[in-house]
Amino acid sequence: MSHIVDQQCTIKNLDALAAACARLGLDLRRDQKTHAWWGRFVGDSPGIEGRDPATYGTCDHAIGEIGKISQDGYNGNWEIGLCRRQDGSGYTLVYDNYGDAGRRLEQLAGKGLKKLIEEYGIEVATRRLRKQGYRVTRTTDAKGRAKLVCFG
Amino acid sequence: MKTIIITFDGEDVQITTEGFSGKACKAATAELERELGTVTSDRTTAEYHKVSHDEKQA
Repeated sequence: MSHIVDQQCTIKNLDALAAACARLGLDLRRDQKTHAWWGRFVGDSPGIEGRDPATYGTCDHAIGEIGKISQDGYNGNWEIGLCRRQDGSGYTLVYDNYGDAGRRLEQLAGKGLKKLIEEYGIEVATRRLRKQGYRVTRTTDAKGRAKLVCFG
Repeated sequence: MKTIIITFDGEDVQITTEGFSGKACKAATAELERELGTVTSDRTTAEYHKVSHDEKQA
């Protein structure tokens, strides 16, 4: 081995995100400034750190299930919001995980949106390393985690 | 053979390089690290400190 880097993946590239969404049955709704959720903050959770509850439901872009029209409220079709970080480092993903509508988002994107973030990272890495001339193969490791093996 | 292995676990990513000599491994992954996000730790291995044949000749 030569070097080992640990890092945290941050959503920055919307084209890569759109491709990751498509693999999960989601679509990126660019420039959609609101995302569907319960509709009002009832105080039953800690909320989103650093944000005024009056701004909940607003975003810079949204992600929803392909073929489903955005709809707030119980039994609605909820969406994930992408909110640009104030420090310019990328986007934060926000969503409401309550009830059937929230569970549907987690079915598609993973609990805590884990699957979506992984697919995004895989897309970014695949694009970058193929551009550098590497042959990229996707597999899983012994713990079932997604893994890219890239030969140059 | 130069190999880059990337493991994903939610937002946690680990990038491991193999088969590179000297600083070439860092150059190979610099852009990838920048595009993925924030580096939380970076450790080199014995292979990193091995001077390549080309570097010795220069």
